[in-house]
Amino acid sequence: MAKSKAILDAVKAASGASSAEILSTKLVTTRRSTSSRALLATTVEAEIAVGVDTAEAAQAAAGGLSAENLNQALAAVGVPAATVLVAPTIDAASGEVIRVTVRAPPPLQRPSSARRAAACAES
Amino acid sequence: MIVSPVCAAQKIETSVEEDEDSTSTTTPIPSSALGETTSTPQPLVIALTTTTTSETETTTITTTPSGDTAGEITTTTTTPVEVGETTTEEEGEDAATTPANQVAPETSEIDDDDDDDDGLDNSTSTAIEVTTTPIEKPQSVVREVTTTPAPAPTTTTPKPKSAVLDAPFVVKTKLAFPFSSIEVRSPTVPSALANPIEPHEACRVTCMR
Repeated sequence: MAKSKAILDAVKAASGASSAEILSTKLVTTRRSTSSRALLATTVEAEIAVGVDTAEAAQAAAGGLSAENLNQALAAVGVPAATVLVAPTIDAASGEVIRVTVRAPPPLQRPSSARRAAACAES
Repeated sequence: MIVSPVCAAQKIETSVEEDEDSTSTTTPIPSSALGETTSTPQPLVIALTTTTTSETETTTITTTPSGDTAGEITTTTTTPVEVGETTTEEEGEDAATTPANQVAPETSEIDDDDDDDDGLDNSTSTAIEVTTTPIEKPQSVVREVTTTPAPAPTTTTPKPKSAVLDAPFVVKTKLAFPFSSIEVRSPTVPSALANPIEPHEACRVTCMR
């Protein structure tokens, strides 16, 4: 994945963790509308993990990986906004899984619509 | 005393003394005479033996082969005893003299009484049955050896240790990025593009024209 280093830097900045890693990536092509013929959207799904030493740090990292914080960090490194597909979860080494309640991420803004909105605003 | 015609030609004389102390004298048969007897199909009487005193032991063994009555083998063995006297043949031209302290040769006489007139010596054949017990060969022991092949060495590629996943707490999330944000890079830049080939001198001239 391109700009993977930039994405990891953004994840580190958003979560406050010192280490982050992309576990897996998957290329997904979806049809945006059933009526449209060729409007296909291709996205890259990436599973990202950050490691911390304490439970408090894990909670803080999960809260920092919200869509809002993450997109701000991504914008700072020049990466388009991303959509949080799976809410952050905390896996302890003992096997305990800590659920973290975060706010639902905002819908992914398509660049074209954003550009169109910006153009309308300017006009 | 039987004298064969063959041996008659050979002049063999034996002196016999009436004295009690006299010893028996055995005249050895010349090899030449033996050779003649084998070639002449006549009854064989090879040697002449006279025993007069007890100083000479005479043993006569008669053997009749089974199934063949015609062939009768008589073997006479004369063993002289040492006598400290010398017997001198006084008469005849070929007197045999046995010196004192000398052992006279032993003589074996084989009398072949072949009755048929075919002239063949058919009585001397003696069948010897030889029974041979075969030695038992040691039985070869077949050993079944089951060899278990050694397990192939398993090559395991060490997985790079992830510092993130080994951390006490791991925060995981899944994000979706638009495809347009992906930047495609070629793994290596071709050297031809990095160092463009300079046009040939002749081509350059042609282009200039």
